[in-house]
Amino acid sequence: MSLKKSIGLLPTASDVTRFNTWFDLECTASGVERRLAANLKLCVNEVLANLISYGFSDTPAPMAAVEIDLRPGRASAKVIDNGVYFDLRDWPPVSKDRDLLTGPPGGFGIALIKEHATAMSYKRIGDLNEFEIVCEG
Amino acid sequence: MSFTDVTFLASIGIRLLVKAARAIAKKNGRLVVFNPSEDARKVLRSTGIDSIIAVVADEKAAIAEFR
Repeated sequence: MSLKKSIGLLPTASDVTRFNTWFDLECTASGVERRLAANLKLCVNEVLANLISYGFSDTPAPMAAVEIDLRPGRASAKVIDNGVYFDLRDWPPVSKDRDLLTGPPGGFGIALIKEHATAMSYKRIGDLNEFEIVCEG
Repeated sequence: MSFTDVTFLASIGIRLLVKAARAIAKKNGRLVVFNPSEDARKVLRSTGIDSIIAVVADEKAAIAEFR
């Protein structure tokens, strides 16, 4: 059985909290494995945090939506937004050997997505970004 | 630092931990995190932050880090 739902969001911290509450309830209802749900939740949070920080500097009416598809053995989400073009797959992973006490402290979010997602895809459709994350196992 | 009540950890939290670890290191101290969930532990490991902070199982082990 597959559970497919979606939620519309504003690019704000409070709407990320709203997403998390909604997502936890839907995961419980779907019966998807807790580990897959946790991995997907982390990935979507990182995408949303990235959007809030960098995605909408020139967008007059920012919007985002998350579509989820949950089933045993597979959890996926599409994050759709009208922000600037951004394909995070293009970003190279940061080295785990860097000195975090002195070096630049960025790149954690992308590292976490790459570590926790099984697959990712990106499309630019008109003025919209569509980033899909799949967690399987 | 107790992670007992930390149910979700993402990059925003990691950045705060890096800031805290840097500030403590400047005073010749060390940040120790104890009792993280398995999910939080995985995030700490994935980001490499466990190279600058100690991650241990419980408070007793955290105190032992300073002896």
